[in-house]
Amino acid sequence: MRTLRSMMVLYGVLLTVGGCRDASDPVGPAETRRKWGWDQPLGTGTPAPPSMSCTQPSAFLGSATCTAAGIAPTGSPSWSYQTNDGVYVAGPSSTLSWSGPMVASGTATISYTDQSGTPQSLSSSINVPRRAVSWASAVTGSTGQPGEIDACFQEDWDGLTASKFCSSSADADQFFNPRVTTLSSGNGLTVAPVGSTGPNAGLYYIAQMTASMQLRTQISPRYRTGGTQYSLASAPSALQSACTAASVTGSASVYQANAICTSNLVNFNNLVSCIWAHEARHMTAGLGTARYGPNDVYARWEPLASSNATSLVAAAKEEYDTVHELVSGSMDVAHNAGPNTGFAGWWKVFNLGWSNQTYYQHC
Amino acid sequence: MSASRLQIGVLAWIGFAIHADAQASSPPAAPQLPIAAQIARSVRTSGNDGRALPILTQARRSERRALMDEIADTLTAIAINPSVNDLANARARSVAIGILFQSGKGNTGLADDVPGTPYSGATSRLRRIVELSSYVENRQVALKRLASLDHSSAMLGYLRQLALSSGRIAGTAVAILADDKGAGGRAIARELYVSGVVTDATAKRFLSTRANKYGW
Repeated sequence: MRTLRSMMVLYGVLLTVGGCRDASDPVGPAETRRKWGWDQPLGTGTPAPPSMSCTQPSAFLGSATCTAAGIAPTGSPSWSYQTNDGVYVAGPSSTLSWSGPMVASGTATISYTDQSGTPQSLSSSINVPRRAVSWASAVTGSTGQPGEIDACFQEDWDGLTASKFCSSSADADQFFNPRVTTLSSGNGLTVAPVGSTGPNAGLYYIAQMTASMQLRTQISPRYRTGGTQYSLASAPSALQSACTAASVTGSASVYQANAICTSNLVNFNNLVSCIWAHEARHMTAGLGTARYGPNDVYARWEPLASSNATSLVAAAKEEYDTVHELVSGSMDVAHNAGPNTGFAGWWKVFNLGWSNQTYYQHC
Repeated sequence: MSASRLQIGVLAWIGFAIHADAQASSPPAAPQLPIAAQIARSVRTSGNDGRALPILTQARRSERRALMDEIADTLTAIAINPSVNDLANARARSVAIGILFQSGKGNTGLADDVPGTPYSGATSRLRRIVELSSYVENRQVALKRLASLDHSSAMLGYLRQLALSSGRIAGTAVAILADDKGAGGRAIARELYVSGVVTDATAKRFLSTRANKYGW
């Protein structure tokens, strides 16, 4: 039975090969070899079906080349690309190759019509290596030099932690440089077009990231030697007479009142140390929050790409603002974190004038 | 090897080769997710999305309101619901708020600033985020975006109400009133400062700096 079936199969093959001749068929052995290509190396059989593939970029902004084969020009091939984020890029038509620099992963597609007029498409994904970016090194903080960020103080503040670029007290709660509302291309980041060729043509990406947070801690100018002078006219008589005895008349700074008029320097210095510690706590909290992985501004900006530069900056600003709120919030929380300590035995100035009541501060 | 077995073997090899080629060049179509789910996945995994704005602003064609609302609700949920606090989720929350805000302004995100129709559902979603998000920083930013979209007098009242609340949102409300809402907002901020009714420490500090700046 098996032998019979095998013979039938062979017979069928022979029938197919040995079909009827027509007038154009070659006649001699040499002509036959030439006419049918039997003198050529053996082919693979049926024509290769249409195909398409893309090379992968070796780095961010590296080139990818997509190449198609087996598609006739009459098939009106046209290219397109869709990023994994849904941004659509229309490509060229009537060409079987498309290449250019890449910033966004996605899928390249060539659409065409086959010989029967049916629309077809072939797709290939392109994976763009991401940039390893971090703004950790752009996040810094240090104790302020004398005079640094003094312009940001309000009269009644003991200490301050602010951006080194702070220029007024109304700006004191803006810790990033540039401040959130002024972030723009050329100021904190630079937006660049990918170019005019390839699957990412027309897209914009963030080419440079320069935003930073540079904090400074500072103590109120009124607590420093040579600080603000306050009138002694309505000061308690004890302070007035002490200052008179020390040849300080008319007005005195807080430092003079405690170090020169009276012998309260130790108590006063204890408070000053407490204020520095308090501000350091604010700064440490802000730095820690800003450097925390999910809050890394550059990392949050890195994948952004858009076909519109304005939209790209708006998206970047959204991330920037959110991280700023996180940093600001953590710095606020630090306000009450230290031990609440009472300081007595020193003269200070409140709105109502000179006082030596116990003063509390979270050190 | 018998002839029949040889033929079967050749046919099987050809069949495999054709199948492999098809896989390489044209993967079988996966079941397509609803567009809102595609956007959510993109926002969560890539920290970016290019589909939502053109739909919400009807940049390319008139869109079904139900589709627009479904996308907006999905973005709202991303910004509200608690999730693992990693880079991808933190980024996704900001992106979601940003898309809602831009849609409310009518920004399409398309090349050449193709104009769009402002999505009228943006303000209600942003307000939901302000009131319900698990993340205070997202509540704060959503409030800023909401305030810049809504220029009604009711918005001023809403900001005043938030300024009297506790928590960081109070400070944000104070800053918006004093800095971004013109004379009307500044008058409310001044009234809050003078009356001393604000209780949140940050909000009080913000009022103090504005009082210093504007000479209240």
